[in-house]
Amino acid sequence: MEMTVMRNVTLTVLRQVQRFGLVSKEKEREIAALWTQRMRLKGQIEGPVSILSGGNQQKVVLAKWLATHPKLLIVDEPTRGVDVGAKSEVHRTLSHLAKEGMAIIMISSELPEVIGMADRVLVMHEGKLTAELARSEVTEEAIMFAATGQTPSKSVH
Amino acid sequence: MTEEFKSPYDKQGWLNVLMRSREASLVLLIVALTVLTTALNPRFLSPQSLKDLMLNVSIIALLVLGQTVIILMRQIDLSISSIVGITAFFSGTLFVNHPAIPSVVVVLLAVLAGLLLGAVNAALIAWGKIPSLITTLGTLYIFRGANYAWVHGRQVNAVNVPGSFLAIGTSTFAGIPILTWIVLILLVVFSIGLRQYRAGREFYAIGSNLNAAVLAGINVSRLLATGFIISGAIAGLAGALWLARFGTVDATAAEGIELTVITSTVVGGVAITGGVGTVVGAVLGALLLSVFSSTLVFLRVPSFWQQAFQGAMLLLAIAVDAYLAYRHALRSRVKWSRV
Amino acid sequence: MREGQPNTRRLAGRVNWEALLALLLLIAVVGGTLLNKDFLTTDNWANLLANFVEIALMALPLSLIVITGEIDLSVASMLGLSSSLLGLLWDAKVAVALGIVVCLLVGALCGALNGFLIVRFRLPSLAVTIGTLALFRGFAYILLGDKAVADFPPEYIAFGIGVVPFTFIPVPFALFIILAVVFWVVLHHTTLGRSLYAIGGNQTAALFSGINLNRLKMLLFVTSGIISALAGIVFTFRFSSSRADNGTGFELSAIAAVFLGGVTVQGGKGTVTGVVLSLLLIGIINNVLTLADVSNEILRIVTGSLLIVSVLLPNIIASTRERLRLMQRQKEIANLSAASVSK
Repeated sequence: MEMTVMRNVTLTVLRQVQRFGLVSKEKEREIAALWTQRMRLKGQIEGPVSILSGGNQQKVVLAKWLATHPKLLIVDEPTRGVDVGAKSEVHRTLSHLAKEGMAIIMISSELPEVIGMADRVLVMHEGKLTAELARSEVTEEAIMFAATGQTPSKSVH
Repeated sequence: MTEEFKSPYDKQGWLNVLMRSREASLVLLIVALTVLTTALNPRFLSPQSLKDLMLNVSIIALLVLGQTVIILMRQIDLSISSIVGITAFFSGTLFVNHPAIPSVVVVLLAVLAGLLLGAVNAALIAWGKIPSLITTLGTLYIFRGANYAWVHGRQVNAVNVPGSFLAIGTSTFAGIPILTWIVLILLVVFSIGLRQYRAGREFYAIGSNLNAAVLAGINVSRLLATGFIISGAIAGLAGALWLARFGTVDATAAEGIELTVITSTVVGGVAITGGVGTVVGAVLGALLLSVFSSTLVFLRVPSFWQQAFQGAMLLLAIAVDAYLAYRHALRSRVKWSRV
Repeated sequence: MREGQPNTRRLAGRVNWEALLALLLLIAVVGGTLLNKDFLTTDNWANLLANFVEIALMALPLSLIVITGEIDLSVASMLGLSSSLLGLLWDAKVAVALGIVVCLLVGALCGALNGFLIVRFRLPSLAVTIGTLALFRGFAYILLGDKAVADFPPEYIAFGIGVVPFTFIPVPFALFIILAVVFWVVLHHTTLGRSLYAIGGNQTAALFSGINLNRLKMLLFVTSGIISALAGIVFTFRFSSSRADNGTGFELSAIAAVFLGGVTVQGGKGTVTGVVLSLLLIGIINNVLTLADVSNEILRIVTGSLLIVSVLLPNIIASTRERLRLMQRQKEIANLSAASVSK
């Protein structure tokens, strides 16, 4: 929290910012600027992360991992503790990334988030996979049944 | 259709519980060591050597009582050795300057002096929010430095101390030294206090999970302060008793004893991470260390080896504690998921 | 646009910790000159710089350790062990050069033991290093007992008490400066340094970012061991004396220097520059007091007090600012409600 945005973002790609064994400040700035711009992050990259809003802090975390050019991104509770406005921004960013071809696994316990974002939903119960629902099959009831270890009866209505 | 709720701890026989008890293991170790040493040198169980043992343990066991409260809260008090040194010299000086002073008054004043020094720690830690390691490391040297400066090369000799006071340090009652009786009585007091009274439970809570304790409304600052004041007062008492036991006090009195005290406490089951342990265990730990020390002496091991062994025992105790905690966590998780 | 110095500790908003230290240093030098006419002589400064070399050496890796959120209280004991071992080997007619190598290796092993217990077993570093403080010092006593070994070969003594040609700077101090520069480069200009700050700031986040916590911490403790052993060697040559109790209590000064130098208790902040400045400050204060015939014990009191003050002062300032801010807020709220009422 005390470190600058710049330092946070380049933490995952430390090997890229060094030249002849020493850290190159220009490369640090370059990489940080690139990814914070992609995230549409408002605020100075040389300021501390602690003064950013919750949503922006999440964007820094995302930027940090995107800087590694992942093929698969795993996010765990990406909008927990984030305010509503920032929530939708994070969702928008994730959708955008998915549309560009990145594979994303999102782990979440918020039903609206899951239903809204996922192309495919996998539900687990006590360590076992209990359902795999395609977007068309996804309903709140279906997820909840699977999550509590029961199968939805066909004649619910 | 609900299954009957089974707790993982139901199937424990009394033997199991005993084996899990730190206190029981300590008693076993002490007995084993005693048997071993006596087999090698029967003089170990002679009345004189037993009395020496009890006298040696007593002051450390006393300090251990105070340190237990501190470590339970996940803090540490390194300055006790300096407090003992100052109050021991203080007690001696009182006798030198006021030969007719009653022993009880001296003891009370010593406790008061220790209490005040402990209050310095308390203020810095509870109010100044300085971590106890740093504070007591600082006061360890500040108090000791002040002690040296005050003593200025002099010393208190046994001749200056009234025989009645020295008798506290050497005489016995029903075969057990008075010093040991004092410790035993205080042991009971502390044991009851920590277990039955709310403040006692709160010490455990603070060490176990500080955030939870704060949220539960516990006045952490006040308890921290209380703990260090208690530790100081106990050290003050120990200083007076040090004078009674040894008669001669110079500026180096009790130097280095804090290490023995902390090691005894941790060996006795009071985890350095706080929240776990009992005063009984801690005192048993002190006894174990003393017996071990005597064993080394009886085995003719050079005294230079003592410190290394102490360090090793502390490391061993910490490692064992960590391993037990790990096993416990592992066991509970496995059992729970099978329910 | 320069990066906003994220590693520096700030005392009260704008005030930079290192700047404050530099100011105090200036005051100390001025004070020293005024108090004693011998203060500014080259002889005195040669003494001054040499006297705290061992503590200064140990403070370097120690500050890195504290930045990652750990601590190493066993540094002085490793110094003592190294000194005892050196003396023992020399007494047994082993060549000093070989003795030095052995001591450094043993230092590395000691550090490795610390690292192993702390990293691999995840034991708290405070408790472990209290234990190894006793263990290593105990080993020193086992090796040398009550004995003292003196008369080391003159070439080595010359290293201990000699000066760099054409200057008054003691050779050991020059060694310290070189190492300080190395540590400065590593901490502030390498990815390793960045990783250390990250570990101190948020260990979990650092771990998840792909930083190898275990390897780095182990490296730090081993380094601490080697440098403490080096300090022991320097001490032995400087005083031409190898004793089991050499360096007892040095850990206090080393820790005081680290915290006074701006390294925070929680970790994640602090600079090598700050620690070097604080070492100089403590060295000067000690020197001025010694010149004024103040006893050793009073020096201990001063060092202990410096340690406490260096942590206490920022806390007080922070809480005072917090209280002022609260009062300001309450005033604002009062004004607001007064304004809405009077409408």
